[in-house]
Amino acid sequence: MNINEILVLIDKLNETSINELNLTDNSFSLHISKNIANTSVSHVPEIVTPKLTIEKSTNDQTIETFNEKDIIVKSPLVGIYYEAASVDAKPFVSIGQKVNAGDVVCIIEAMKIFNEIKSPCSGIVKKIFPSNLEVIEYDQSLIVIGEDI
Amino acid sequence: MKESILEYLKENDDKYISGEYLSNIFNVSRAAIWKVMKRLEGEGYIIESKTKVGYKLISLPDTLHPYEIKSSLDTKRIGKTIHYFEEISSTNDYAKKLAQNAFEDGEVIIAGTQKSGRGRFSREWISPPNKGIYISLLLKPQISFENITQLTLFTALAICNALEEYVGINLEIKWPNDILLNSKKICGILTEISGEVDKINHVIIGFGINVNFDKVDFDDTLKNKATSLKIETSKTQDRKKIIQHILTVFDKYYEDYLNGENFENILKQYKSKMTIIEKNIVISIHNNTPASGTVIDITNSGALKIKMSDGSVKEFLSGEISLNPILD
Repeated sequence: MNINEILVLIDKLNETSINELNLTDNSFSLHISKNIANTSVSHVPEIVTPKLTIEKSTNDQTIETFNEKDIIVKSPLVGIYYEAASVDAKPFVSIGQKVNAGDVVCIIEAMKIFNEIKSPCSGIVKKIFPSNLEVIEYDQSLIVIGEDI
Repeated sequence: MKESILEYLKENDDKYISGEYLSNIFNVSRAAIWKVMKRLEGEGYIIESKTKVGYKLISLPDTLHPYEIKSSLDTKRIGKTIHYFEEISSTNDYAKKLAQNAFEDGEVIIAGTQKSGRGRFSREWISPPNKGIYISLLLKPQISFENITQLTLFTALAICNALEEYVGINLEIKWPNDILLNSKKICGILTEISGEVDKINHVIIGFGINVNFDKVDFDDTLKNKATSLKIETSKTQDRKKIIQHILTVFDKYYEDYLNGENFENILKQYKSKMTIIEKNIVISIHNNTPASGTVIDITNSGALKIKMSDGSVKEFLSGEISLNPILD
């Protein structure tokens, strides 16, 4: 399993009520668990601190860790995810890019209303969840912004 | 002072008013009155001046100066402040700049022409000077994101109803917000918003209306898809009055929207302007594989409810639609 497959798996898992998953494939094994305290939907803030970690149990080395200071930018509305301002333009952000608070990170469009999603903080783009033109649900995770190193 | 003098001339456009009389009622020198007349002439007003008789307003220019729009504009929020530019890059871009500082709900930006007028996805929007309406409304509605898509419905309907009433034509809304006259586009709307989950910072509704465009204003790629009020009615239309009508209707719908009233009626009217209900259509999102089905209804959020070819029912809040050429 490569990192991309793992990330896709996490995305899918996030949409389900499954809280824990163990997966073994030959020499490879993977354990994913959700912090249940974080799945409350009664009050949904725009930004949450992710507590999801992925560990590769074979050698105990962390492939990717979202630490507590990371910020997940979520969608305030249902719509289509646009990574760029126009078909020809380059994406607003890419992995590893530095962003400042207020920078546009993507556009969510519904009923021809274009909503520029802005970064709430300065930092480095660690992950972009949706692919271009994907349908986004309310409160869906869009982008992870990590601490500036 | 210029605006007060202009108002006075308009009210008395059946006679000559002497410079001395004007200088008395406005309490300025006759030289100052003369300067105002020169400035008005510079803006395109035709003023006849006769020695020893006075000034008389002959005609108004076909421009969209704020005081021309504001006079006799009966609105609660929209157009209390109007910014006018002979030429600007884009009215939406200017509205975005305004939104960085404090602004009133309902400020209006109007341009005679736009150097880089744009539509959706930064597509070019042609803006021949003083032939169209290029306008943006800057709003800060206190509403939740849940209801934001209704903006699209009542904005399109406001423009549609105002044009139909004033120009005396029948229009069609192409979902979600293109306005067509005789199956060709005459108005496009670009709505851009900024906000967070619990708060909308600003909403910018920009629209362009092809009012007095001539056929030569459309290039080959547009001439079969777009038209103007002038081309279709064979008459030069009054842009100022059209703007006033639209702002007045919009103001009313906007007020209802903020109060959560009248939506059923708006939706009903919106649906009556659509021609695709119960028709077979193709819907596509950019280059994604298009889907096809039969339009059943429009939901309260404006989504297109479609019975797909496989029998399932889906709702679409995005996409470009066209009639299915195979089935219709």
